[in-house]
Amino acid sequence: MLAGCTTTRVAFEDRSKDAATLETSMASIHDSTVGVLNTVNTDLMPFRAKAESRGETFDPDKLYVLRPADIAVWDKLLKALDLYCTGLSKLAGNTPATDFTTSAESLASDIQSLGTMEKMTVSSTESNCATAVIALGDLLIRYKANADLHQIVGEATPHFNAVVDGLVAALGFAGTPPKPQGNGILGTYDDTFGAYNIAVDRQFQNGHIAGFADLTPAQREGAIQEYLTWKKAAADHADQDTKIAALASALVKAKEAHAALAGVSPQHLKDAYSQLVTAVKAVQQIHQKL
Amino acid sequence: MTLTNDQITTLQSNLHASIANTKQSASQCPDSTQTAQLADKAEQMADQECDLETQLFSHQTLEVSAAAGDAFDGAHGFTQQLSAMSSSLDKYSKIMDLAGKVIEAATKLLQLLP
Repeated sequence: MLAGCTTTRVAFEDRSKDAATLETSMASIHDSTVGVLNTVNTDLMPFRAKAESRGETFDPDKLYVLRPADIAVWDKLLKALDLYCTGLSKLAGNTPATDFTTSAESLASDIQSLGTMEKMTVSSTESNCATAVIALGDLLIRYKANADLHQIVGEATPHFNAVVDGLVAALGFAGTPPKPQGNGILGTYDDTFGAYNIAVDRQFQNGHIAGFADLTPAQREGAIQEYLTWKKAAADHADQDTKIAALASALVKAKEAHAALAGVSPQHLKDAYSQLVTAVKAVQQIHQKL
Repeated sequence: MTLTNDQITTLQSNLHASIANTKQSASQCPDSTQTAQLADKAEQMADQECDLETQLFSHQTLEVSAAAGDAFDGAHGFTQQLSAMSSSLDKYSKIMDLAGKVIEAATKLLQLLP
């Protein structure tokens, strides 16, 4: 009996940690995604300006490859996943039951506000906080929460996956592990940067400045400044490429870690969370570098 | 004419291959005028790819938003479960409160016993 209780408590603590990891990871993925999408727009804007100059009419919306209104929708969708993962974490959390009740109300309120933005209404939890909860009651609630977690995650998985898969495809990746497909956001970002840099790439081919010896000292200085600007732009572009790839990888790992919460072998769960933490750390490191 | 996502990605992949070929040709071209022409051609293909990407991203956003409508329904169910759990917690607390009162009363009775 005692051994059984110990095993159950260990299972609670593991699942609680996993749910907390997923919550932190999704928050990080949310921030990174919005950052990546906005950076793609900012980086490509000078090229879009040149494209607009070819026509006779000016449309300011065409300066953005990714419409800001579309990015705003993704921001909301990922916020919804954030809130959902926060809820899972609280459900699985090793918190006193009174805190759980309070956080359940807070979560319901958060989801309700999000639902209102999407023209949907979600009823709020009635405010009926328990006042006296002893340790046995706490354990009872946590046991129920843990059992419910499997069901909730199982039902939520198709929706969770639809958002994550949609974003991975939009980034221009497919498969597991995700591989670039030469289209979508990454393909367009790389092709546009490459096409608009053909002349300058040629000017600085193999790390040399073409016709350097024939230039005056003032022209040489100007050419060197151009060379340094080009080098920095290429390095920044490469960093953004790496960040997009790391983000696609982290999204796939989050999907696997979420599905693992529905209940498979403990080793599979452990592996899934270990990989998720590594993937999110990679995204964060690149984010800090940028 | 509205293109499907598959049609757009196929067009993008074709443009991707053409831009790569043009870049390769430009890097090997000895004539600067021809290089400039190749660069201009590559830029125009990139412009088309960007326009396609704007359409594709909007389609993908719409599709995932529709799927997320179900997810919000799921969230509704989720909050209902939380609400049910809160209620069961209240019931449990009332029982424990009652038990506490019984124990309190029993303790007082015990104190009265000789």
